[in-house]
Amino acid sequence: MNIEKVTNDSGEEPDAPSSVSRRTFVKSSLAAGAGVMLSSASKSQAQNTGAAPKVDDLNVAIIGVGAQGQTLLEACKDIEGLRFKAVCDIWEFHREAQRRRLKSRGHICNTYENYKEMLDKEKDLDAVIVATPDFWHAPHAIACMEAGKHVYSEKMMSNTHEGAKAMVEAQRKTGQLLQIGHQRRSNPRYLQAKEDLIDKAGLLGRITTINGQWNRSVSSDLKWADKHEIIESRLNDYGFANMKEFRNWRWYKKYGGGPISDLGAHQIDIYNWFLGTPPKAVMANGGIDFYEDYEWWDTVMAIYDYETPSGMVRAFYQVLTTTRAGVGYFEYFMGTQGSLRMSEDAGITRVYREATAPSWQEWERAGLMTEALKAKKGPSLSELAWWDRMRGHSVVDARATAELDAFVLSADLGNKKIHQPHLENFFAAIRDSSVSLNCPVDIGYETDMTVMKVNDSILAEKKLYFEPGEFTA
Amino acid sequence: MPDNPGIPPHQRFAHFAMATEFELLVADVPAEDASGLAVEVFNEIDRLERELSRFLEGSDIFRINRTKCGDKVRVGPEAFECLRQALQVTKLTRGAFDVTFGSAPQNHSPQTRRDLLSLDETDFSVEVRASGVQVDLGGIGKGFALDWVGDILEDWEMTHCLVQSGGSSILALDPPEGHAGWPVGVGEGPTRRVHLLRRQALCASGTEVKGEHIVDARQSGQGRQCLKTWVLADQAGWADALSTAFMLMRPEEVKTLCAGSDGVAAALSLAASDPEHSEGLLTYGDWPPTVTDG
Repeated sequence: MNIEKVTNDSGEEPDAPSSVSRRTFVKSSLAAGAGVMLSSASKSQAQNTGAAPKVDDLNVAIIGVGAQGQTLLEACKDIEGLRFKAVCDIWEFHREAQRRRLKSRGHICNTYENYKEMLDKEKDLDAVIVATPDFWHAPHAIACMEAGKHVYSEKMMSNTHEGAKAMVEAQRKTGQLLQIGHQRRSNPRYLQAKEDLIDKAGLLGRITTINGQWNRSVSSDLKWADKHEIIESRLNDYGFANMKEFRNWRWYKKYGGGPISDLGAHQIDIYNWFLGTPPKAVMANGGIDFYEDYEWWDTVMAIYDYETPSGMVRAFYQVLTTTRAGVGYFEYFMGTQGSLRMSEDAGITRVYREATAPSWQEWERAGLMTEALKAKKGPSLSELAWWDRMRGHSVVDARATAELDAFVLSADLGNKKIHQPHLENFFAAIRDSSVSLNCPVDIGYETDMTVMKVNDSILAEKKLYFEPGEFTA
Repeated sequence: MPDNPGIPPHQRFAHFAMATEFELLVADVPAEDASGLAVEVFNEIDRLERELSRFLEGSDIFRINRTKCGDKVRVGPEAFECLRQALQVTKLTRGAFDVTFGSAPQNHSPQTRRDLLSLDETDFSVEVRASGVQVDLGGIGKGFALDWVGDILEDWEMTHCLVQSGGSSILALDPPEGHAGWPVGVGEGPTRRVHLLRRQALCASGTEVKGEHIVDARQSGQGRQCLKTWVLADQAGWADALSTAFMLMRPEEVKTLCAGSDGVAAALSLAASDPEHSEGLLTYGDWPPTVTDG
């Protein structure tokens, strides 16, 4: 659209909008930085290359820039002191798109199809982010650590026990940092729930049961534009059978662990973390109930047994890929004094007080949480009971069933992206040896073993027990 | 080629996002290719929602709304470009369209409201320049999303498509083979017209679905002027935002803006109580001729 200059009644001249058309803009944006950004990118480049690097600037590369890789790059954009130097992906379409997005933010990156070439040529890298399909995590992470780079690897660590174990061994051998991408472990709300509500305040009492889920609506095959198709021989070189499996790798057994691994791992990791122990046993069921030409089970349900110092905890988890029923995804910790529904979706995160539990006003005053529904739905259950007594007219008033008191946690992400705190923790640990990783390789391995057993149980069609030492590589 | 050869054959795909239903209409390609395109388009709309929603923790707009006065936050090209367009429309309409209308400093003048945010294109950062600034892209985000996914349609070289959100924001690329355009209805009853859209966006605003939801943030704003508005432009983001702004602008202001803006045309349905304009639609700019409905 080309809008001419308009003078208003007061003689003020509104800014003429960009004459860049929609398609010019969008193409330049995704492909080379938006029209307005095109010149900016060059300006940034000049600034970037002209400026002396700061002492603690970190040179960073990324391997794998599909959807998850892009999410991680976006989460890095407000982390100071990072200089992205290289983008590696076997798909030029994704590789170039992310190179240009990084360029628009002032990062001048070399691009590589092959990670070995990248490691050969990019000698000054401090860290590498690995966001490739699961079966590539171990080869990529191990090669990077052996080349002296710290690694942030997406979860799962691998789709095989052997791959995960090899990553642990490489980390121990090289001494490089290896952060596994269970990003909830750095989320301020999850940290507050674990450290303050559960461990310090003991608000839930004895946790007896857990219910968790990640349910998604029906999805269709990911496709690709013909002109962006990778020739099959090149796909074969990188372990993929064909373009369809490359685009939909999560559904095939040789590339990943299926929905329980893609989605469930994030949340089952929280079960282990909040309970302070891995499980003793798991019994699972599942199958390909809906999709016709995939290998992995589209429906999985599992029940873990956790033996905690406080007693047995039965933990249910389901992942459904045919319906979003039950508000998507959460981990619901149920205890004798209260229940905690955690989620990366702040809107459904709540902690509920049992009617018989002591007041939580102390913890409200301490700033841990605020009562969620007080403003909208009138007095809380405890206040109603207090009024009953104060009035002295009756022992109780008959009214509609009161809901449990619901509270909202006070901690939140502020103005950060969801993955940002976990990446910040990784980069902070590189700069400062006193900073510990929130999800080092030992924890990642424990979670991998916990999750892989679900698929083993479905195959075996029986309850499986974890062997002593099974959680340690 | 006939002006209106009827509804062209097409495949229709729907997806719920941004609190409404998006639709993709595809013509002249095999069913399997069309469904693959739909998956790509709707996945991208979901991704855009995760960056542009003010409700989703971690979205770029949510982050701006949590940023303190004087601080900067870096955003992605999606949020940056959408905000850039929004601020341009704000200036062009002298504050009738304003994505910061919900901000705490309600008494800011149009001039100072314009300065609540400062965009820095050298690093895609947004500086928040007052306390309590709240950005709501509800008046432009859906149209912007249509523009954005239009690039996917181009990239996939499947351009015989129309994509729309909620019936109020429509972007037509190329029409089906043998057709002059995608037939799109405007208005009801005796004022109903059908336009053949081709390489153009058409967006509408009104109060019949959401009630009185359009806020006039201008200090001296005169409030709602129209029952409904329709705007044609070649970008859906612009058409979306202008259709909202025109609800609050006097017809003569709309006329001036359309006259000075290449490619922008508007149709207004004024309040029924207005004796001068109670029948028909007022049209401004290069409003196209209509074809017979049906």
